[in-house]
Amino acid sequence: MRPIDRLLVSIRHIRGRLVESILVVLATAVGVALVASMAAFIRSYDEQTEYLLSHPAYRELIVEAVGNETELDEPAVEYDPDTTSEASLGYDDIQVALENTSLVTYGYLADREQLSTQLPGSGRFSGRGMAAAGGVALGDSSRDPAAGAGEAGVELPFPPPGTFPPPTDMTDAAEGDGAARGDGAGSGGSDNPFAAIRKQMEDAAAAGEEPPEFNLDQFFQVDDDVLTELPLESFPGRRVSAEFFEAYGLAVAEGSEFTNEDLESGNQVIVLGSSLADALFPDGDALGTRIRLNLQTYTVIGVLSPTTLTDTETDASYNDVAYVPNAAAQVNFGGNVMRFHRPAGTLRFAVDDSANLDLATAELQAHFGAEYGDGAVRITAPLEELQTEREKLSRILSVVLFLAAAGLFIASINLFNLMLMRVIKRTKGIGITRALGATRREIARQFLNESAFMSLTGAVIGLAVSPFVYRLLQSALIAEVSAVTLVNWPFLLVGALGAFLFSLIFGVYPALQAGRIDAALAIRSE
Amino acid sequence: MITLEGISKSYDLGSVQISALKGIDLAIDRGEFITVMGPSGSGKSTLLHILGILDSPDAGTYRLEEHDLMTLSDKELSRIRNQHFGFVFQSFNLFNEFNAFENVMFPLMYAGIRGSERRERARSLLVQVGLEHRLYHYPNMLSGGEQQRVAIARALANDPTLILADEPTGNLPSDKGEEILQILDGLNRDGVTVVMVTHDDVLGKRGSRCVRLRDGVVESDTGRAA
Ligand SMILES: Nc1ncnc2c1ncn2[C@@H]1O[C@H](COP(=O)(O)OP(=O)(O)OP(=O)(O)O)[C@@H](O)[C@H]1O
Ligand SMILES: [Mg+2]
Repeated sequence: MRPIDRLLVSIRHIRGRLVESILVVLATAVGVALVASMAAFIRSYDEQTEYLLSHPAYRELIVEAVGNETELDEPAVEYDPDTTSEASLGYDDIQVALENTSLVTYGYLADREQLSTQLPGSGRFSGRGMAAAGGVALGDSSRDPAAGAGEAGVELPFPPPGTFPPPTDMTDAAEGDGAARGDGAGSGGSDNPFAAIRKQMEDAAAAGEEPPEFNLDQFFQVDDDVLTELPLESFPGRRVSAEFFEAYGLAVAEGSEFTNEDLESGNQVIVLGSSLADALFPDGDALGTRIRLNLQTYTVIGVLSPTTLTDTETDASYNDVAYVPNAAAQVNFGGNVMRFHRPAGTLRFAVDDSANLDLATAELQAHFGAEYGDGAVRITAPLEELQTEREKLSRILSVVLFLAAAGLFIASINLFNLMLMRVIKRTKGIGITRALGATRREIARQFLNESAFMSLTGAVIGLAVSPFVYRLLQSALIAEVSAVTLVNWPFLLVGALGAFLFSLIFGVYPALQAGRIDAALAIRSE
Repeated sequence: MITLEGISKSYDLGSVQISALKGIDLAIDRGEFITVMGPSGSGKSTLLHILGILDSPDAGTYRLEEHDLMTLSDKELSRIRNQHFGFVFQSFNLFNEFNAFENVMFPLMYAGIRGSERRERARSLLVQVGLEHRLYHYPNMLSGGEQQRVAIARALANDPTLILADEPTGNLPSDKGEEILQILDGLNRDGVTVVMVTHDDVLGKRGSRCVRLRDGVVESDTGRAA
């Protein structure tokens, strides 16, 4: 018998028992979709794990001063390093720590911070709002110095002018050394604009009146060549020290990276990720441009080569991130250039081989213990958290995979039962086909063809819906982990093929039974 | 054409053994029209199944032309059934999911005949049994006589040399039974060997030779006497 004839005969038999066949096909489709999407999902998940394990962020050790976290909810303006923290960590600590340890290869600062071209409070501060805005904005930015960036459109890297009195560590740029590369303008205005505003507000309060409104634009003037409008209003940034580029393998395609001299002398320079540069400067004229971000004026000195790295917390591509020196903020406020310091708080160290993380932790612990006293700093390894989280998720995934396999198994058993029932119901017909010249083998093939046709239909439907099941699994399982985003098509296919073959096996036994039927007996049966 | 020697067949029902055939010797020549008669349970159907190699005997030999059928494989035996034998049953035994035309095509499919040749052949067979107006009727839309004619057309699909009919008229009124017998007669005149089981004494005399069975043995055989 030719395969096409066999197939046509199969279809007629399936049509003869349409409802049962459709149910079995649908059950198979569900099983195949579950198994295929789980297979693809687990594969993507493994790939992601592999990627994360190779990610420089997971070779990091994060050192924070114990005590810093106690006042995180309070406005930074009240921050006093002398009383609130045992250890005050800064850039200098990195160098010392590197000298005193052998396994630690890199040390750098790398705080997240959203960069925005906008002025705070959409350009207007009411007198009352100023105090509030200052407190809130600062609370945000200091709540998590490591993560830094809030989602709010505008975030100030320093106490905004709404907070009075001005921070104690604020210095006038005119008195400080190292004139900013980005801003050489307006210094030396002797009357402090803060004093005037403060006077007005105090007067209003004393008179029981509404505080007057101030338009911020009048205080934040920039040179004519400084861009205050960009195609993107806001984008992710990282305040880093120069070693960050090396530790993360980031290289410049154009211009140059900044150095630690830039950092020390407070140069306001910025290096752009490749995609970000394209987005901000479609004409490719990024280098040398001056832009206003978070009230500061930065000069673009470099554009990075594309990288495959993504941020492990936000999932943003590093190509979409801008990098600025982790240094004092310099703001031209009412003609006065002022510098605002923010305690570094979080130091990052990295090892070459994540196997050395434990030993490196011990080294750093010993070093900082000797320096600031035992327990003064807390050292965390992101890798450890990742592994704990992944272990938990792996267990969940195995359970879901098991359930998916169980679904396929049940569907296949249904197919098995249906086929066995058909063999019994068609016993007489089998006897007749034997009389007409069908071999035992041909009869077995006919039944196998029927079950295979149903398995295949189920597998095709299952494969077609599996991307949706995949998305469902993704949203259900990966809520807390940076998502496995891509549908892994090869493994979806492999999974569907495997499930199809599995279901196929369940048609074999009924088919063999059909072939074994005794012809004479079958013809006598009713 | 066929020689059976010492064919016996028994069924093991656990506690009892039923001997359906007890040493049957039978020689069938080409062109004969043999009727097989005998009381119910005497082994007529069993004999027919063994002749049609749907069943295999426990003992004895079966020679078809020069072949000892006991030594052939399932594939070879199936080919013989397909090419040389045609079966007609009392209860018609058509495939209910397939129409008359398709039913007739089954032996042709097993023979590997394809396309237009197959369709032409199926059509001409149905014309031959007088069913040109019932090609696409399903079995349940056909009368008993029509169904049996479809069954005969199907049995004739590959030009068999031997027709094995087990009470082909048993489920039909006598006039319809007569039609069937006319067809078988005609085939026999054309040289096809026919073995037909029947309970009807009148029909039993229509053949060229009548074999009577009783309790699994040949009670009488007009062919031998003659
Ligand atoms: N599969 C079987 N298992 C057990 N006994 C069987 C089987 N097939 C047939 N027999 C027995 O073998 C004997 C011969 O049966 P067979 O069908 O050949 O008789 P028959 O002459 O065709 O009868 P009828 O005229 O009623 O059709 C009977 O006694 C029957 O009960
Ligand atoms: Mg019988």
